[in-house]
Amino acid sequence: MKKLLSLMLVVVMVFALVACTGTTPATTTANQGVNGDATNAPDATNAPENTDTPADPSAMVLNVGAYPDTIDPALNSAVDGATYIIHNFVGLIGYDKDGKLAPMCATEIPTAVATDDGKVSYTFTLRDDLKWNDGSALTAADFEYSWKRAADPATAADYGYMFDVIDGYADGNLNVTATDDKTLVVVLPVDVPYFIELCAFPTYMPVKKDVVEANGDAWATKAETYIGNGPYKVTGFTQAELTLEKNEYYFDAANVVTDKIVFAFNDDDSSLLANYKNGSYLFIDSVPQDEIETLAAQYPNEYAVEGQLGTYYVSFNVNDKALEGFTEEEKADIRTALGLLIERNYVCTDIGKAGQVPAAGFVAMGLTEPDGKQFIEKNGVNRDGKGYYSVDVNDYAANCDKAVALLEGVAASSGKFTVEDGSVVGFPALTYITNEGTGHEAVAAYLQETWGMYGFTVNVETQEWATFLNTRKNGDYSVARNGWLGDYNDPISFLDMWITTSGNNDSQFGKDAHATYAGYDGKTWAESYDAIIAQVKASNNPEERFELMHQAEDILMQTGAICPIYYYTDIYMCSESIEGFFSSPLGYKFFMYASVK
Amino acid sequence: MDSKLALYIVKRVLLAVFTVFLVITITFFVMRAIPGGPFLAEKSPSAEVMAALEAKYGLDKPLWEQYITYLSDLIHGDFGPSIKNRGRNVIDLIMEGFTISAKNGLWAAGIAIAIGLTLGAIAAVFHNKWIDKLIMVLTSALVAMPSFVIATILLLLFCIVWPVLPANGNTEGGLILPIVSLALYPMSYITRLTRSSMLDVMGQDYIRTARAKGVSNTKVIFKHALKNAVTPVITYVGPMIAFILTGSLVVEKVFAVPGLGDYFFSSITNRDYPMVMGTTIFLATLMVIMTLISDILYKVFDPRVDLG
Repeated sequence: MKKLLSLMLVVVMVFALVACTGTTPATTTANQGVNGDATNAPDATNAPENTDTPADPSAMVLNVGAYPDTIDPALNSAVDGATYIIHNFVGLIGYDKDGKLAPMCATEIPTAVATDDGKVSYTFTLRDDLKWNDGSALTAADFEYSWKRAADPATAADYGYMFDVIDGYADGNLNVTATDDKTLVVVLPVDVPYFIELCAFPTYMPVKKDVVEANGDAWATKAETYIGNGPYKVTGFTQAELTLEKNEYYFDAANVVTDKIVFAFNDDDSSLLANYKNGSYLFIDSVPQDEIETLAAQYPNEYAVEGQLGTYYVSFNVNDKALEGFTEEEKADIRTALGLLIERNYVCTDIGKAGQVPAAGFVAMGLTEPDGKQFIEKNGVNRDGKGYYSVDVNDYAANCDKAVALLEGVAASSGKFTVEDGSVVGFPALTYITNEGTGHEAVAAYLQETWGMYGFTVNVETQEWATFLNTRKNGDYSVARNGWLGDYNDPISFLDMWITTSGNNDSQFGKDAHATYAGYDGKTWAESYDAIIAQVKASNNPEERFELMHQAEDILMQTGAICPIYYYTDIYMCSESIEGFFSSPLGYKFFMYASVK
Repeated sequence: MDSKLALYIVKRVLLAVFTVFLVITITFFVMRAIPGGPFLAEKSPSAEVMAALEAKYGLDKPLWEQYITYLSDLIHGDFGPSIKNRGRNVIDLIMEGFTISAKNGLWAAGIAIAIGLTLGAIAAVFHNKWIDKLIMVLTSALVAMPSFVIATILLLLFCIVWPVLPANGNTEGGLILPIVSLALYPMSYITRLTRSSMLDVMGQDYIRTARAKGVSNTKVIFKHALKNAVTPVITYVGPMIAFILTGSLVVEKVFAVPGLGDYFFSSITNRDYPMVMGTTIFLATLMVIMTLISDILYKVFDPRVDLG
């Protein structure tokens, strides 16, 4: 036994010596062995692994994110997940190769028809011969099933509320009926302008009842059961990649050029860039923050910055204990002053560095009014698009003067602190919370320094992600980093989150002490803000609806508790060899019309 | 001795089960005590959806009840579903990742042990010669460098500056760099351990006696010195293998290897309770087994060790 062991040890050492004298060739051979094993070994998912290398000329290898939480159209709420889904499913409505809304499963985009009971209905007619990618027929009943499934609270879909525009949502009985195989009738209590766009949203895409019911949530985890109706079908799904091949049953298969797409899962920025530079990936959806300037200069035709429906902002807790003792008006003035002291242009150009746009309102850019103008072109109390304060770099000094004047007013009325030479003295310390992340922490440091120049003591507390979310949601903070991405092209997606009962009401409007404060035209938060949002949701008149949404934003900004910093942008790198690709304002990446030159 | 060894193993296995049980209990309650939950996100789901989700995963029940349910499921081999990855079972995710991580880890461990022992022995034999000094300088540097530095340097050198190897661990030849990154630290550590232990052994009387009796130098080194010097290395190698097999977060991230490493970290960030439990139990069990094996090997290499 001992001899044997000694002998083995010697053998191992000899092997090692050989490896030592010729390290590179030895390890190369060794590792090819490893790879060979991986190819032959039966994988847990039974999907072939390592069959797609960048050398395969017919496949586009792309990256839009890490291994997704889910690719079930109903359950997904992530941007990368949505990109995978839109390649495998298609709704009644979708996007054509110019990125414009177009009928997909439906033959045309229907118009709203008033019903006898004062509601509106949309009647969709489906194309002939629609099929799932397993060749079976897809009917209007599949849409009815899928929509009801996604809206059902028991399904526990993050985006189940996307169906709240449909009649019967609140009672759990969605008013959607397949009157025959090719006709789907949908009833809405009031017409909403973005309903057609919703029909193109992943949550509204059809899923196949029998595979879903037979496999539960697991149906969307395996290639064999992941049946869709879109331009591509999944042929491999491992923790490394999602392999898609052209779906021959897709109604528009003639216009799908590329036979195979591989979405490699990876979310390490350095690794992404290395893979992009050496040609492994033709597309990456994220780049290292420090490399942004270099990449923009080095790859002017491949580095892209697109607008995104979202706002990066700072939220104040309206019931902040640190400011107890000040009146609600004084608190609002303090918050407004702190907001005015932020030089947003500096944050965008010196910290963000990715083409972010300084924000003068909370509702992001990229949202369209009934007259075709942008919502932000009309924001601000005068509806002139100047916002709620100036973000012009030349007006910053004036903003600061205004801020100091506000603070002097509060100092005089409260007597709790003084303002000397433009600096507050004796003001209670504030704590700014943020989660980890170089960008977030850089903004925190900037705010600490800037507010510090005006005498404020700001402690920055960096919290672990889940803890941070919890603290912010429960209102156990003074000031917090925050961000919001819109769900669809309508400002309501930025505004209904601030009603009292919303799960995203991080500023705690209408709660605790703030619940009884009647400072909004003599009304409380519930009577003013919540009421306006309810009116918006019940409105049939687009102009009135948008005016109400501007009013809601006025109230929101009047609190000073929502302090927008910039509008988000989406950065990606797309190889020059790809043509026909486009990205949507929601950040979805469309490759179904793309090909490699 | 055999029956004594058997008794020892039985005792150790029982102790191991108890250790793992303690780990389970502590992890279960500590995870629940920290703030946050699995369903929180930048966009929170509605209260209704939240309630449906909590009911679905049994998180609405009292904590002690959840604990009992978890233990009883576990005894039946059920690690439960992942909360984060809807529709996936914890054990499937772990095994998928482990298959890949373990393959890399075995290569890395093999390379680390083989080269580490060799270099250590060479350094000891040529004590204070230039080769010893070179080996020591190199291994000191590698031991001091954190894995993200090593991995990033390798990525830069071999994928960008001199692009001979793929940066994507999921392609042909893509596992070379992750394996090398994983192997360098334990290799250097083993080199240093072997060297100092060899030096210690080579100063012993019995080596001098062997030499005096005219035993050849090679035989002295391999049969007498290295064999006896290997005991401290075994102590290190056991737990090292457990760690290396379960993957490295950093190395797997940098080289896009779809292994297990990431789950140890991400499951905690996501408050994916069943996944946290699964990965913890998995690592704890592996660790306990490896420690047990190295203790037994101890006895094999050094009969003086009393296992009692």
